Amino acid sequence: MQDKEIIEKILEGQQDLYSYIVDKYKNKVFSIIYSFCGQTGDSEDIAQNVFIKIFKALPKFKFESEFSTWMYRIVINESITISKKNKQYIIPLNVNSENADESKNNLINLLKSKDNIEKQLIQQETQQIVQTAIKQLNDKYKTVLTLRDIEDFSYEEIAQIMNVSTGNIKILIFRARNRLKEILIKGDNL
Amino acid sequence: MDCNKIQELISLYLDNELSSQEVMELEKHFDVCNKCKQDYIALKNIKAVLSFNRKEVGLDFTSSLMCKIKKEKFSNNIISFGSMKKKIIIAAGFLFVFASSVIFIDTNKISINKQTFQTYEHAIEYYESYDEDIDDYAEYEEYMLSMLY
Ligand SMILES: [Zn+2]
Repeated sequence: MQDKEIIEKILEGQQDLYSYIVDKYKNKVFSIIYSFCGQTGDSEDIAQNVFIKIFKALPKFKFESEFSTWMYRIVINESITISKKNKQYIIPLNVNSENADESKNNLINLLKSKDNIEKQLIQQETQQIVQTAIKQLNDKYKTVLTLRDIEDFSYEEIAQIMNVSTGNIKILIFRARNRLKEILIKGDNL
Repeated sequence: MDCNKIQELISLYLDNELSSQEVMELEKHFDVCNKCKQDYIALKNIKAVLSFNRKEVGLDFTSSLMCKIKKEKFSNNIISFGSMKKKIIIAAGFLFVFASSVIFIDTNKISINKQTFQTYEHAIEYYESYDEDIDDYAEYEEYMLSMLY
């Protein structure tokens, strides 16, 4: 069954069918929220609340776009709002962790030298450094990189979700990656 | 091809968005320009590190969510006073859009104006369906404005 058919049935009263939608998108939605909000608060709880908001907003869905496009817009707007609320709880790494400097240097060397990075090489602290670096990006950059590199959406899908042309998406992704590289390698604000 | 042009292509190369002709030119450049090659490696690794950020929810995510939704249905009929305030703010938002459209048409920036409107329409759609603090709207409006300027 297509998403739109399921949504129609949910709106007709078969609300249990919403579980199909949730199952289909839960990991993607969760990953977006995690990318924006990181470990501030319980990301799973936040994801559930976002799904509840989407559920309540279903009567506003006009069936003009793909359901997923409409849904991801809500998820991104919600993630941005939550990440702004939680800003004060972000602890700067260099103050908090003794190993942060070492991890940072390791990560920089890894990024510059290794031809193919493997997940096993990335320690938890270095993951946190990347997380902190993503947080330094503006909302547009954060959104394109999350959708492209974490969610693996195509340029066209991202363009639809963000409501801009694919040409603009290409430029945004190029700029966002270079900005992230600057932050990570020059160590700005980390 | 000069390095500036190459820099623009690297990002597209990472996403397999280049023609075979462009790929050849890019790889030829990497053979002779170490700086661009290093940049490519760094960006490729950053992309890889980002992909490690994919997460999965726990096993009972959907079932516990559906329970929450069933519980919420009983308290759905309570009309909050906040929604009235929201409507006033939304009306103000429309006025803002109208006012800004006049400015934008004046300066021949109609396409930007169109996007503003769509975004606000979305903002309205979004906020009408929520039962949260009015503070949210101010934050959202601030965010939308920051996207524009
Ligand atoms: Zn070069």
